[in-house]
Order: sequence, then structure tokens, then C-alpha cells
Amino acid sequence: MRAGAPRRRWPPALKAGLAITLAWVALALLADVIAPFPPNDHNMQAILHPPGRPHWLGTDNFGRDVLSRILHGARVDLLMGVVGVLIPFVIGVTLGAVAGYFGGIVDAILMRILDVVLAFPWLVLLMAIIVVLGPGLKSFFIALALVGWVSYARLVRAQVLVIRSADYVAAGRSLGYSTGRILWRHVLPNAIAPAIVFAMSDVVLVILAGSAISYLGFGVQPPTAEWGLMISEGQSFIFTAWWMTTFPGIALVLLALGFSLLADGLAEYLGVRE
Amino acid sequence: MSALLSVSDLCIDVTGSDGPMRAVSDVSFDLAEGEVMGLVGESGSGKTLTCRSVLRLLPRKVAITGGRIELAGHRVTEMTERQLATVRGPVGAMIFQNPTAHLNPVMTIGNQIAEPVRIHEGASRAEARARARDLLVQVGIPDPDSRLDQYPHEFSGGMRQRAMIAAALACRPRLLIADEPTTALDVTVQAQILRLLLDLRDSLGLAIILVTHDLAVVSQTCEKVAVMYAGRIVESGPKPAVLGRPCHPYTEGLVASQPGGGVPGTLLKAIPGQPPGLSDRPPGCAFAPRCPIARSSCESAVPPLESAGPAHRTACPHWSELGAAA
Amino acid sequence: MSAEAPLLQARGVVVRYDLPRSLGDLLSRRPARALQAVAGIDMSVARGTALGIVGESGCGKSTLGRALIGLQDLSAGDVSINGLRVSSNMPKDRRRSMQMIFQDPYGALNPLLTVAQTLSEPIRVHRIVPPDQVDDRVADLMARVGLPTDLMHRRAGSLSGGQQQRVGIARALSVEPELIVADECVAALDVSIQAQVLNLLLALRAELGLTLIFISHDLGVVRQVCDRVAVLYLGRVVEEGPTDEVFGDPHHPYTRTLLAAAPVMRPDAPPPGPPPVGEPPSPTDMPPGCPYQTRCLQAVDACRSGPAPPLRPFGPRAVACHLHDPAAARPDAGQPRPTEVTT
Repeated sequence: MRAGAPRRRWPPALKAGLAITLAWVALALLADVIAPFPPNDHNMQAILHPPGRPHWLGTDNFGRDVLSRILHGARVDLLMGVVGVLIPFVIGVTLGAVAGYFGGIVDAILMRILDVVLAFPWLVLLMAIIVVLGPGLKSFFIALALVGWVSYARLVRAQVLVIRSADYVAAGRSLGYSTGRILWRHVLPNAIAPAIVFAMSDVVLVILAGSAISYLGFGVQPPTAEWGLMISEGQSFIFTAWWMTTFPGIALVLLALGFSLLADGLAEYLGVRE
Repeated sequence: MSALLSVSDLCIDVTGSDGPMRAVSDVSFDLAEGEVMGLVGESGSGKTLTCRSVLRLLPRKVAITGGRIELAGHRVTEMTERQLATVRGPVGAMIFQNPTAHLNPVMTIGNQIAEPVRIHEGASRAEARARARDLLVQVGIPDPDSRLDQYPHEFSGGMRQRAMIAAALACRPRLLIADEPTTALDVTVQAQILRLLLDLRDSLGLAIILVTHDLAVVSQTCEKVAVMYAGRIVESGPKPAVLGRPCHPYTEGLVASQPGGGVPGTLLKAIPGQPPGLSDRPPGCAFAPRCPIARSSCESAVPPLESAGPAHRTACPHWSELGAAA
Repeated sequence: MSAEAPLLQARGVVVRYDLPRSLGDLLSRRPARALQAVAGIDMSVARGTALGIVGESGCGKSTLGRALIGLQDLSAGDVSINGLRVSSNMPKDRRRSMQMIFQDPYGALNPLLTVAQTLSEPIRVHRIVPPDQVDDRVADLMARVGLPTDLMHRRAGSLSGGQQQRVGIARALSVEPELIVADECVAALDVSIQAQVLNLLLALRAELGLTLIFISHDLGVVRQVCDRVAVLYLGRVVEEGPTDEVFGDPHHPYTRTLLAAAPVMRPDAPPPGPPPVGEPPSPTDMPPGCPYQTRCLQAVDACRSGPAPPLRPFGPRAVACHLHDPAAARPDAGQPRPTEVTT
């Protein structure tokens, strides 16, 4: 018996992932309202204040409220993750679809570029480009665009190679549909699911990379509240003020968990094999 | 003569996301030594589950929930997995539609045929190999000596099906269950495989259950036919009677909708509608919504099998109207 | 053949696939090997008729079907429909006149689109009707192929196989074609659904005057639907003619084998007789002479060398066999044959 419609029931992982991710988005959007203190307000009376009233997660060495900085930092980290994935996603999906559908010389050239990019460790390549462009969030996004698209291109190309020989594509050709219509309306929507799933797990990688690069001093610049930067700043106080590093670390893990669950849930929901 | 295989009141449940659903209900049939029975039905009719349950080769989430199966004195339904291993092979064996999926691609054909002989009969390597060679000859594979050391991908589709038959015959079973064995093959190769199965029946006294959707194949190869619809046997009996004078409207519809018999270009007598899915089987006769002679009483209770001639049974209480209508 | 020009005319159609060369091939400088899926076929189909193309897997019947409507590039030869040349990049208003129905009813539908979306797209693309009438047109099409309109917003995956095939047929009809190539269009369907879909095709053909090219391995189905039939073996037509004549009195030994092997439903059918010998040779490794000679029980020396016998007219039909050379044989075709004729 042929399997009927795929089960359109939401897997638990998808629900949990969505809940965590949306909670972070809400917290980031409402940071101005719910944060008890402005993120960059120095309180010299309460330097390295341990967790307790009124600083629930303590303060840092400038007397800034850690909770408020985490909430505002969520904006920066979410922005890094989403924009840092969206740009390579769009570039990679487009190139992968075109290469897979048309094949030939375009495909051959693209695949060679891809091999070269993939030959380097991802983070090292990212760092190298940022060093050349100069530190900052803009450099980070440009570097990601140059490096990150390859994974998407490869995933989409592999799917397109299969789908372009599907009968509904032949039917589209015999119905006189333009190549663009076939590619964008019939091939790509059926080929994109693995790329979407990968994008969700890629958000985690990008946020971690962003934090790591900020930590090393090449990403977001102080005094902006950013989790990686906060961890980096708290490093020297790890024995005297453990909360400076621990709480941003937990925030990072929780956000990563949200997107990982989202990726797993989406994979199950869309029927994508890992 | 006592039956080699006796299936009575077999019920099979399939567990889906909404709990267990009845896939096969109250199926009973007997098969004697050397007899060839066709089990006919469309996809979802339960024919494959029924034939697989004879050797308890059911997938996960599928369970026999009622009835009894007796194969050569073994109560298959009550055996442990360990006991079943002594039945599968030496008593009953099975071949499938897709030999490629049921042959190990990284093992030579010879070893795959010899393996069950060594396991079940404790034969030595040389004995088993000699046996495998004999089997290849028996199933009509030319040049058996070099074929023994080849891998499945070096065989054509028809040869692979022959090799699977050879592996099934390795432990001299008395029953061969063939699940759509020729569906994936071309007609000329299909004719070869069917002829081979009948020859094996004649030379080995093998009983065969031939599961198929193709009435033409059944009409050429089987002595008995059982027609399944929505998990039940709706008609069974000797082939000439069932196909020549169908006593169930479903069988009659299948026979009438065979293409190629009528005048070219004219419409076929098609059965309207489509078979019910597992979850939406009607409470009464499952065929009633598509049946030309159904009446309201058909929709309330499942009609029992009744006799319509010597060894000929039908699940339609109004079968006597069929001949008149035709 | 009537005096009217045929709808479809194919001359010397060849489709060749280059096989990938292994490193060993390259090093030993073996020439690139090619597989001839279609090895020079001439064909003409009269308007309003149904031509069956039969043969076993690998005989090239699907490739031929696609080549005839420009879904497959030709390596040689040409095909024209209404006197206009068919190619893979012809303009869309010429494409309209030739459509295809596929074997796998689910695979032929974009799984993300609803029935209404699938059917309205070609109507919009070709501006068959003004935009405000598209929905009515979709409803008409669904009614015509026997699909209840409440399925309109369902996706392909939630339809049964028979319903999916009806959507495929409706989509082909949406652009008002003259020619439909049906490639094994009932092979994936259950027996009771098969008859429904065949009936639908027969009714549509009568109603709309469609020309049909019906590709199938099932001789019974072809006999039911087609006026003429072409028997393919390894990329060549070996026999062609009116269906009742070819099936009633097959001339080519392969046609005879095929007919004898095809089981026919008869309550009193005897067990199958001695089966045909061998299997078709690999298309990459064709024998010299007649392609069928390796399995032919009547092959003579002439069959085992030289070029393959050409397709020669033989009364209302044509046969490609040295044993049926009209120059050698008596002109009348009805000579008695030793083998029994299956009906």
C-alpha cells in the first residue's frame, strides 16, 4: 500500500525547539521593557555584586547588571545567527539549484570552488577573512557569506539532481512551462527541505562562531552586550565572580538547544533524512 | 488426505498511530501436498500479510491476533522464534517480488544458497557447495560452476529470481510461498519462472501459494483460487469454477474488467469506486459500496462464507443472482 | 494508409546514450561506448488513431515515447507533428499539442501543489481561458476525468493511485492537446482501478478525437485500446500493423514469442507451454545481424551476420525478419504457420 499523505503532526522536538526559540525572540524584543537595568549602566556601588536582589544574576566588574546584558545580548546574538545564516542560505540555495538543474560547465566550476572552500577548516577561513576586512559585525557577515554558502549549495544541488528527472518536471516541460517556472516553482520547493533543516543547526554554529570571534576580539566590539564578549570579559574574574561567565554561557547553551531541537523537529516533520 | 497447510480463522492486526487496526479477518484455507493455490487481491487486501503469516514473517507492528496455522503438523501460531527457525527452510520457504532486495549483494550466489544447507543440515562446506550446484541446475541456471562464484549484480533479473528460488529450495521445503514472484519481470521471463515453479511442483511434490494480483497468471498456473478483498477471503474454490462462474460480485467484476478479451476500442466492465482503506472499512460487506447487487442488508452484517458448489465458497448471500445478470 | 497526412511522422529516430568510461577504458584507449536505446525507427501515426508500442523492459519504448514529443533529444532523425518539427526547445504554443501521461501517478505530480493548483497552472500559462474563468475550467476538467470537486484542495499525497492518475490525465487535457503519449499509464494501478482509467482514456479519445500513443508491456491492455501496434525489440520496430492482425497472426518470431508468453485470463487455461528461451542481450553488447537471432528458434545463417533486417511492408503491416522478405516469399501474407496462434 502506498503511504498516504505524510503525517502532518508536529513532532515533540519541533514544539520544544519552537517554544525555546520563540521565547528567546520574545525576550530579545522585550529587552528594553523587562530588563531591570540599562545594559551599559555602570553602578560603581555594586561592582561584582553576587547574584541576589536587585541584581538577580549579579553584576560585572563595571557594576553592569548581568541579567540585563544577557537580555540585550540576545538581540545581538539572534541577529548574528539569523542574518549570518540567511545570507549564505540565499546565495547557496540559488547557486546550488542553478548548478544542479543545468549541470554542465556552470556546475563543474561551482563544484571546484566548493571543493576549495571545503578544503579549509571553516572557522579558520572565517577568521582569516575577518582579519583582512577588519573586526566588526559587518566583516563577520561578509566572511560568512563567502564561506557559508557552500554547504547549502551542496545540499540543494544534490536534491535538484534527483528532482530534475522527476516525472512532474517532465510534465512541466511538456506543458511548455518556462525554465524559470519549473526551477523556482516545481524543483526548488521540493529540493529545499534539507537546506532548511541544515540552516537551523547552522544558526547554532554561527552564533557560537560569532561568540568565539567576539571573544577573540574580532567580532562585536565592547561595550556592546554580546554573550561571547561577556564570557571573554568575565574570564579574568572566573574565581571571584563566576556568574559573569556562567550565566551568558547558560544563555548560549539554551539558545543553541532551541535551534538544535528545531532542526531535529523540522527534519522529522519534513521527512528529511540526516 | 490431510492438508499440508491448514489456516483457520486467521486475524492480523496492524498497529498504526491510532492503535491497532484489523487488516486480515477470519481467513481460512487448506492446502494439500503438491497443490498450487492462487491468493488473489489488490494492494491492501491483506494477501501479502496472510501469506507471510504462514511462516510468521510479519513486519514489526503487525501481529497475529487470532486463529490457527498448522503447517505439516507444526502449530506455527504457537511456536517460539527459536522453534520457527526449524520450520522456515526445511518445511516452508518464501520467495519475493524483488529478488535484488532479498539477496545479499556482497555474498556469492553459491554461498547464499549453501548457507541454509550448512545451518539446517550441518553439511560440510563441500557438501553444501555441491548441493548449491545441483540447485542451480534444477532452477535452470546455465553454467552453474562459474555462476556459483558470482555475485547477484552479475545476474539478470530473471536469473536472480531463479537464484532466489534455488536458495528457497535449499532445505527441501514442502511448501513454497511465492509473493508476486513475476510482477517485476518481463512476460517472456515471467513465462519461464512460472513454468519452472510448475516443474518443481511436479518433480518435488512442492505445494505452492502464489500471491498475485494477476488473474491471467492464476488462470494458467493454479488449481485453487482464493480471492481476498479488504482483509477477507470473499470467494474460494477450484480455479475453473471461481474464474469461470464467479459467485461473488467482486470476482465477477475482476474477471469482467480484464482488458484484451472484448472488442478493441470498447469500454471495459469496470468496477466503480475504490477499495476501502484500513481505517474506513464499512461495517457490513466491505464490497457493498461498489457492488451492483448490494441491498441494505449487506451494509449491516458481514456475510458468512456459504457453499456455491463443490469446494466452492462465497461470501455473497446473493450469489445466485450473478449468473442471471451476466 | 489514408491520403490524409499523418499527425505524427518520425524518420530514422535514433537515441544514443554515451556510457561513462572507466579509468581502465581511458588508459587502454578503448573508444567511448554508447547505448542505442532507439536504433533507427520510422513511424507515422494517423490523426485520431491509437498506436500501441509494446515490448519488454529495455526495448526503448519509453525513450521512444519521450523522443516523439520532444522530451528527449534525438541523436539522429527527426519527428514532426502537423508537419512542424518537434524539438526539445520548441515554443510553448507548439508544445501544447503533445502531452504525456506517466507510469507512476504520484511521481508525475508536484507533491506540494493541490489538485486545483496543478490544473490551473497550465491553463494560466497558456491563457486557455480569461483569468476569471480559470476556476470553472478546473472544475470542468475534474468532472471530465471523474474526480469529485471536493478533492480540489487536496495534495497529491492524500489521493489514491487512481485519483492521482486522473489528475495526471486532466492536466494533460488542460492544454487541449492533439496527441497524448501514455507511458505504462495503468501499470502501477490495481486491477479494478486499471479498468476505470482505461475506460476513461477510451471515452476521452472518442469524445475529443485524441490521437493516442499507448506504451505498454501488457498486451491485453494494448489490444483493448489500440488500432495499430508496433512491437519493439532492442530499440527497433520488428513488426507493425493493425492490432487484430498482428495479435491474431503474428509474423515476426519475436511477436509470436511475446504473445505465447503473455498469460491470458481463461477459466480453462492450460498450464503454460514450454517457455521462450533466453533473455534479451544487453543493449551495450548487441549481436551481429538480426538483434533477435540469439533467441530465435528459426534463425538461419542470413540472420547471424550483416546488418539487421530492415522493416519491410507486408500487406497492411510491416515486418523486420529475413523469413518474411516479400521478395522471397509469396506475395500473399496468409501462409499457414506451424505454431499455434494464441487468441
